[in-house]
Amino acid sequence: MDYEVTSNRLNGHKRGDIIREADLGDLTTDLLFLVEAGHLSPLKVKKSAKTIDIDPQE
Amino acid sequence: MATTVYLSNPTLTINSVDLQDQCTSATINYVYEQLETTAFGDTARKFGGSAVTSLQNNSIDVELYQSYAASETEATIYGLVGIQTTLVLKPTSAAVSSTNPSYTLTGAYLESHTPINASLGELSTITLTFAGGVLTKATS
Repeated sequence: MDYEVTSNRLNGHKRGDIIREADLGDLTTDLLFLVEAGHLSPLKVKKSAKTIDIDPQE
Repeated sequence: MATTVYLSNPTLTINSVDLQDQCTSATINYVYEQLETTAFGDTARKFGGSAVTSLQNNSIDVELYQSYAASETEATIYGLVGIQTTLVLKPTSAAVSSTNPSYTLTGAYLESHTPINASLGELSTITLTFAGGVLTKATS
């Protein structure tokens, strides 16, 4: 899962960065604590837009 | 001259969160427990030895300004009570080197926290002790 950095305190990252858990290495115990503390926000997976098939005009 | 004056540069991260600008003091206690190995024939007490490996008993004490704002001290620390976390301290914010070593305490336990430590007319501060864990020193 990807996370958006939502504070300027996360070591080595700035607000707006998109990171994964591995980017923090072993320096964090649990990403949930960083989410609860407001340093990270999980990015929701966006569903792709539905496509509409249009019959070609003859 | 071989002295170190701490002005504003030491860095502190707790659980990957940079709290340098809230920190006013930090102390690393690097300890191997003292095991006595004195035996018959000795004329003085001895401790440790090449064949004796004792347990590390490390701790880090930090003093922080309290702040209840978003993503600040309280939000970062409150959830860490009762669990293990990792702290990283460096003498300066410069790159890690032999003259600016980085100390990492992995698996340190925060037993207690004082969410409110208030006195009239004074800035609120908190003092935390992270106990246990393995201390490693990096110079590159």
